[in-house]
Amino acid sequence: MKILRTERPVSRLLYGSILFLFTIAIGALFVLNYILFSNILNRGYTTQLAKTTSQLGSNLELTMSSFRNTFNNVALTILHADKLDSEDLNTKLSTVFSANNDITTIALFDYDGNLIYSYMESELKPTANVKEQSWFAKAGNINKFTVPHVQNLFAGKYDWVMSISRRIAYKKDGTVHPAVLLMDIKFSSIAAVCSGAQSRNSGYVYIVSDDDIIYHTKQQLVLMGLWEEDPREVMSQSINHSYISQHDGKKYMQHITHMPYENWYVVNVAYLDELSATWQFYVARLIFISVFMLLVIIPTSYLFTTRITLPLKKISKKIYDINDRHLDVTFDEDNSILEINMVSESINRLITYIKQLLREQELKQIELRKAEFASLQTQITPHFLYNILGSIIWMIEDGKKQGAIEMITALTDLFKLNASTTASTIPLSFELEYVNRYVHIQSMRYGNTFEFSVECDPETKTLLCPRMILQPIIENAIEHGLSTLDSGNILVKAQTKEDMLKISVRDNGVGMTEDTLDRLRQSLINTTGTINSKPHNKAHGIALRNIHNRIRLLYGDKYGLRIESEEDEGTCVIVCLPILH
Amino acid sequence: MRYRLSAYIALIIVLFIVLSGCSSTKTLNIAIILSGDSQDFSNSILQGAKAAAEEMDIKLTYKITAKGTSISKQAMFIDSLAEDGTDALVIYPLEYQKINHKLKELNIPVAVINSLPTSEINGGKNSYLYTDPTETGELMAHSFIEKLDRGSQIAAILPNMTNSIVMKQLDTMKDILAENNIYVAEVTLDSEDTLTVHKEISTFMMEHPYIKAIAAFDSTAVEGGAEAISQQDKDIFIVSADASITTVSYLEKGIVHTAIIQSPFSIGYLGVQNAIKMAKGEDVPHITSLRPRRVTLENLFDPDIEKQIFPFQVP
Repeated sequence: MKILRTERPVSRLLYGSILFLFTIAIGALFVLNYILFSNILNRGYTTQLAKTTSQLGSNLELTMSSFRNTFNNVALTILHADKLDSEDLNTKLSTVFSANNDITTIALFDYDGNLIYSYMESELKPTANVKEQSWFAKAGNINKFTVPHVQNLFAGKYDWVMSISRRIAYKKDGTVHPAVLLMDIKFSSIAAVCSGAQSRNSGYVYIVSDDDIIYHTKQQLVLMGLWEEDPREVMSQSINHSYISQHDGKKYMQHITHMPYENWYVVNVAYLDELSATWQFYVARLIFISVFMLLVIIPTSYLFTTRITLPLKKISKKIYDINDRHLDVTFDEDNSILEINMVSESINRLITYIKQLLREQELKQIELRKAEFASLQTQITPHFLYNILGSIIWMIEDGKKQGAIEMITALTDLFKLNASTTASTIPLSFELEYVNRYVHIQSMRYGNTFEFSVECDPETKTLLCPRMILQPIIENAIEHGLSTLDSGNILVKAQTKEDMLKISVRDNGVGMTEDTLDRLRQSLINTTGTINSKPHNKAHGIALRNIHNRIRLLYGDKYGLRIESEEDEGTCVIVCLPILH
Repeated sequence: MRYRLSAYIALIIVLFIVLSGCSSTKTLNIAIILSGDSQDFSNSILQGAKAAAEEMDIKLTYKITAKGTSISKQAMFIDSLAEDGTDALVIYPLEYQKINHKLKELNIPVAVINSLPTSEINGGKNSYLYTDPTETGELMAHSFIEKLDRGSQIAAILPNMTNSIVMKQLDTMKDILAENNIYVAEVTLDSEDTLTVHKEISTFMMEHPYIKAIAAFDSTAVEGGAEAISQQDKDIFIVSADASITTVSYLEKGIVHTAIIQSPFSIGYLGVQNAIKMAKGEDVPHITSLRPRRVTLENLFDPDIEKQIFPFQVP
């Protein structure tokens, strides 16, 4: 089957359409996911950072507030104590220490910087210059923590602490004296609160106050000058607002919250690399899933398409075969697709109907041909009769009464023999007898100018042959072959050969030119026309063609007439028939 | 058809596995080999190295030779690195020349810390990081000059195993002191054990009563010298080339007059940073020289100084 360039198989169209639709769907899902995840990630990141920062600020506020309360309680305890070396004061301060491991120092100094009381086992260093300490100088009525520093008051201790101090009063010998109360808390306690806010890999936290960095996740690096932060930049930013900053060429997202009492700015920094890595990871996975889906869809849709279109292809092929006049085709009605089954069933019904129509048509055609042959067969007799009667009239007019009587008698015998049977097929002996009588009449008509002889194998005589097949051939031999000659002979031979009954009628008349013979043979081959269609040579061709078609109609295409002829040598017509008993 | 389908499914599975594994990235493996002879100093270097490893998200393998271990131990450590798949090495070499060929064989980037460059290690893929020994020697010398009269004599207590940095510090100090007519008697310790060192210095002080001061080049020398001075109740002060916590306590007692901050934490941090950069094929300065700072009792608790001496306690 030739496929035009503009035509496409339905399988390819279906496959292409499915792939196209899936690709569009996957692409749309990709874009949608991309946009949605981008928004969610950015918003989630910002919200999470703000929430973490706010939580950290609250935790720090709570922690510092707790320390301040402890400090105030200590101050009140000292104020209410009758004397500083009382057992009651020691017990109470012991409770404060044991309840709070983050407190490293509780000490009371007079305004000259002399140690009055200390809940410490270590001694004040002789070199300790208390009045020079920032917490001493700034001690007032407001409880404020200092920036982290190494406490260097007591021997053998170098803890990083944050100090809180205030001026209080204490009783000694029943008199109230002014003093400065110092409480140190471990700096690590602030670090412990902050360390939970960010994992080290995802960011860091720092606290600034004025120009000082109070705390930094990378505290040691900051202390060593290996990491730098600019507190002034933090102070210039809006509170409770996220913004992007840059450090060492890397981008960060920062969120700042403010602790008003301490005037601390808590900065929570998240690496944008982390966000970017998460984003890249997600996009990579998204691409991977999309590609994977496509890779799965390509063969799946191919199988799916094949499954749908294969029955269609089969139907198409079978229909194409029908066009080639192969009607013995049955379409499978056992497919899993309902519509295909319906189509198959319809086509099967249609084929059955067409076959029935064709059969009917064929039968009608056969009947029609039989009727035509019967009609032609009956037409022979009047034509022959017309010629004989003409001869008889001529004999009577010429006074040849005896000849006329003999001819009429011979004609009567011929008609008697013809009327003795109505069968369409007769034994060859019967046909030869009929021919013999016919030749006798013709011999009388033509004045015995030709000889007629029959050579039959004995077994052929009983074989059946169609009625009236030899007479027209012999008539042709006489009329067209011998009529213009002074003498001649006709030999009829019958024999069984090659599983056929072959009857040859050979004359030694004028014969035919090659051109005439070709046309005659052509007229025998051309069987598409009706029996009445005239061949374009001579009228005698009609009789041969009728016999030829009649034999083929009765016995098939391998039987019929074969004609051999040579100009001035004669003609031989061979009748090929099946061997019928 | 069946064969092609199977091949296609196999391809999809392979793609799945390959693409799934694409996201994993290799973590750099950096090794650091330190000398255990200067324990405080090495510990601070290690703290800095660990901070860098954590900050830069790499795997750090550290090996410290035991106090008094010979150079062969460091050579053994270097041999084992090839099997560990180390990407770059940070090393505080005991005796640089003896391990140079090992480092060349290893053929990975090397960040040498606390050692002066003497010859190239492996074709130039290396860096040197130390605290400027010349400036350290100068600061030590000036500390003596401030306190001593011309014609005085001091003792320079050198550790059992000295390296090029210590020798450079000593040479610089000696040169300046010589210009000021202050003479230096060198004592190389036989041991790294504090008690033995204490005895060695005590003996030396008794044998050299005219010594007015001591230049101590490691914490063991500071400790041994300070104990000897306390025991003999002599008016001798120490100038230390190291400013560890041990040194600070003697500084507060007035035995150590001056200590020089060498920033070992920074050396460790920057050494690892350089090694990472070299392993990644990035350029680093061939020599990085940090500036030392002079600490006395007066400035010990200045915010800038205390940051560098007292380690921050990480919770």
